[in-house]
Amino acid sequence: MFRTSTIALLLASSAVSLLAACGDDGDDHGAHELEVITTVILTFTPDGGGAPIVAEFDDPDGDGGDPPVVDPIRLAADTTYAVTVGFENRLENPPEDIGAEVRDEGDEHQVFFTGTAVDGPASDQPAAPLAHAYADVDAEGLPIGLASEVTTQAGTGQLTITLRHLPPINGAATKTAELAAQVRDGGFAAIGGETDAQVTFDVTVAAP
Amino acid sequence: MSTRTITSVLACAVAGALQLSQPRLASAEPPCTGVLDGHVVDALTHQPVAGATVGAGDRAPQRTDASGHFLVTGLCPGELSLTVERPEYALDERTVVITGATSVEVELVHLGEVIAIEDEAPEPENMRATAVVTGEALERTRGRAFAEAVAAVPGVSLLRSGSSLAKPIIRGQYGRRLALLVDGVRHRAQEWGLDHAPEVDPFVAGKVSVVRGAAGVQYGPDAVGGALVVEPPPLLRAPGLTAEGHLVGTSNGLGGTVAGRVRGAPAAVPGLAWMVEGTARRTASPVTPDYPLDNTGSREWSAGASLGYRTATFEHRVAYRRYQAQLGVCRCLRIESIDDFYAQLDREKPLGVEHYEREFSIERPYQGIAHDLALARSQWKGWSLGTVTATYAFQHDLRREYDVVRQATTGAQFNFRLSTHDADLALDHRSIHLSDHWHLRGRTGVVATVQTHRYTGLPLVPDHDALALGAYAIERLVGHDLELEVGARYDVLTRTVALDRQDFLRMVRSDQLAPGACEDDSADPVRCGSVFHALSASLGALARITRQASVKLDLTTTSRPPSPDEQYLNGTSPTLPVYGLGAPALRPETTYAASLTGAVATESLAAEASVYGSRVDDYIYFAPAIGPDGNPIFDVLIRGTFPRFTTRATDATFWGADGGVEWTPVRALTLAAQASLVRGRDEDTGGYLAFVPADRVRATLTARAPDGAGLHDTFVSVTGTFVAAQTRYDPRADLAPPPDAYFLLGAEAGTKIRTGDHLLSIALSGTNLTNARYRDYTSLLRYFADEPGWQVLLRLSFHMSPPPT
Repeated sequence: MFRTSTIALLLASSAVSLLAACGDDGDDHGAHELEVITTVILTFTPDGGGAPIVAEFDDPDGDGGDPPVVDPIRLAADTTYAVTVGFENRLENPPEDIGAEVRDEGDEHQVFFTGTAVDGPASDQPAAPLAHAYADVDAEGLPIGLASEVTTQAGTGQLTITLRHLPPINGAATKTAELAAQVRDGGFAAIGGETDAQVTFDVTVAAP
Repeated sequence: MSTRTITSVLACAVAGALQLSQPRLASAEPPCTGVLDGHVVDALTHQPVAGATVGAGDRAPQRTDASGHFLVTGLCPGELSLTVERPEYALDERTVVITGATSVEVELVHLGEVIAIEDEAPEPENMRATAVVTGEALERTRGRAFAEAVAAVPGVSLLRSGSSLAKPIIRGQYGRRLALLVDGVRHRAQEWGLDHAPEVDPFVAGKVSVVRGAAGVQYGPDAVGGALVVEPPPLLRAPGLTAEGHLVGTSNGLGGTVAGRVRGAPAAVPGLAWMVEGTARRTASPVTPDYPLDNTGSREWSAGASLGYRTATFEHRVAYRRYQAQLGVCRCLRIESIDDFYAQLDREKPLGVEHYEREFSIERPYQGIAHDLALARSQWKGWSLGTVTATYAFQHDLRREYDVVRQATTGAQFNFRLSTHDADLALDHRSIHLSDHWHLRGRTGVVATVQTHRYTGLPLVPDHDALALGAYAIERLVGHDLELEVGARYDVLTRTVALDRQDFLRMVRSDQLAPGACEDDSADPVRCGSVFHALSASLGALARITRQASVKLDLTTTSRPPSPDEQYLNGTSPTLPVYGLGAPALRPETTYAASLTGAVATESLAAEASVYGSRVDDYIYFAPAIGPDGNPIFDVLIRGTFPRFTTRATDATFWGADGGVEWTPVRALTLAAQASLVRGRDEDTGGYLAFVPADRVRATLTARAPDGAGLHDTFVSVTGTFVAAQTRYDPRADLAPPPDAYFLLGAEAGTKIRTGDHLLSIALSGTNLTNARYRDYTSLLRYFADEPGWQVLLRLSFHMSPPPT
């Protein structure tokens, strides 16, 4: 009798150790897999030279916890600025540059400039303080939006920066030339893909 | 005992011979309205003996039912000869004096070993409304997912997700409030997630019992809504070999299932038996009436083996099973931002639907699941007190969820790894003979569980370690027409979570955790402990009013400790565009439930109906957070603004009714109908609770052809299902109003061919034959897309040398 119980126990324990042995295949512990973005950085460099103006949307502890800190954007009127949009994960040390990944996969990403402060491809408000134009292209010749140009006029409003991930559906590209116009006419609901980041800044453009 | 039996046999034989010629001679006899109500039990164990042949006077022989009862009516006063026989038992012959209503208990003496009797003794009838899906009914669900195999039971509905699998809802309760037992072991997995279907291969089951209503004493404190008990087919008792194979093809999603099982017992080693089984299933994305549900294909396989050894007093068994699945999640789900989600609600079809395909390939988003179960069980029947059963089980549940990400990312975004050791020890004491008509049977046991959970990925749930101990006792007083059951259980659970320091600080900052709530808040990780005590008790009564009708009443109270996600959830939900926060200080919720069930079973009619109600104190509920100004709270995250949902305690009431009737006026025709109704209220706000299934009715008409031409059990059936719109909902507790009512038409035809020892059954069935466009209130898909359109399923099942049933 004891012999049978012993065999049963042995069988059970060997099954258990088998499980333990084959369980550890390819767990990804790296934070890189998580695609967290904590910070959006806008850098406005005046055309005629001068100190760049930097504004951040920063949520250093990620979702929840402390609310994010948003810098207001103050620009001089009647000036053309080169604008770069950066994305970082500051939960990592050193911070992870997500912007570089977006650039590498530019044909599946686009940054949109919308809100009451913007007139441009994705926002139809001619009187707005910022006139936006894309200044970069992906491999297909479509704008990415990591580099842009804005021309200012006095006024106030809100600027929403949206990073949209546009992976193809069954091989069909979802990033098309019409996206910005579709957003302008129908908002983000009108286009496919997923929002990786969407943050809003207060903008004040005043005479220098 | 045996001397007494022999004496009575002799006495009866003489008396019976005298009596046979008497009744018809007398002309002025009083009217023959006497009733003999009999009860056949095993002389040693006092277990009921079902299927014994009863001969009463010159009446046609009848058989005892599952509880060992028989009834003879229209008897004239005087003596009646009675014979009771069953293979493996000594014949019992006796004379009974009939005076009006007479009752008798017949104790049959077993001829062989004691163990054989107990194997055949039926389980005591559950005091709750219980439906058993087995045999033909189970075979007809082959090829469908586990939850769908039990969906035909009244009171059961499905919680569907964006993948091809669903989880069952019993009387409005699902997930962490249902206990799922596989092969006698509590299934341990991530059942809390709305989109986490049970990791069980339905082919494993030889029998599925659906217990509706709180059953905490029997199945553990979280069996608040009921239990699903999956039992594999038993190992062979006698030397031999039996095999079965199933081949199922479906048209929508296109795909198929192949499953097989072989059971054997070698003649060379008496007592040894084995079983090997396996299933593989692959489906493409199903298609709604208008478009495919892109990326909802599935790949599943499962395999298992079991080995048993029996002696006169011992029975040992070891088993191992693995289930593995890869489940695509519909590309139509838009949960990354609340704006996209709301915009989707206004659309007739998902955005980008023109590119959707009915494909086999699975892309992100998808879920990868592997579940292992290893168990060892020993039973000792040699003790004079009763049967002792000891079980040890180890389960490993690995779940990985893969989001749509940039190409540079290859891993999963959510990795859950749950390891559980369960041990239990139970004593089923021998039936205690109190009087000729009252016996006491019962079970006492202790259980222990050690669990570790390791999580990596996007912020969601923490790691935890838990130890749970429990003790229970259930005693049942079994009478002739009345059974009373009382049970009590105590459980203690200690749980320690390990919060990454970063997450801990985040939870403190969002006021989820008090700064001093955890032991050493300067450590990393920060460990936070909880201890929960849970008491469950139940009182049940079963009365057999007549041989055809019975009534059951069950009163149960159960306390369920909060699950780790309810305490520590912190992150955007992988299923809905909401930001979810748990509540570490939650206490157990306590349910007080009552259920009344009536059943009638005659030769042509079988019906069961239940009414039930429960009050849940401190019901743990995940709902939108409302600020002090009475408006919903939104959180600004880097992906936009999300509604905040929190787990919190409220008081809830559930009530409802469910039941079914099956009428067979002639052998060729059966009409079946069933209905389910459930209501759920939040007593604190006065509003309705979310995800309570809408009212539904179903009717089936089955026509059977006479056997012949080598075919038997040939049938054709038509089924109509109507699901009403859920009008009882709280618009503040959900993200969208419920969808419209819908009607689904189904049909099935099947037959069986027997050649020698082999049995081949063929069935063709169709669902949603009108190709109706519909959405279901308890489907997560309803926010995004329609449910699948019409489907045809062809099933071939082959049984080689089926064991005698």
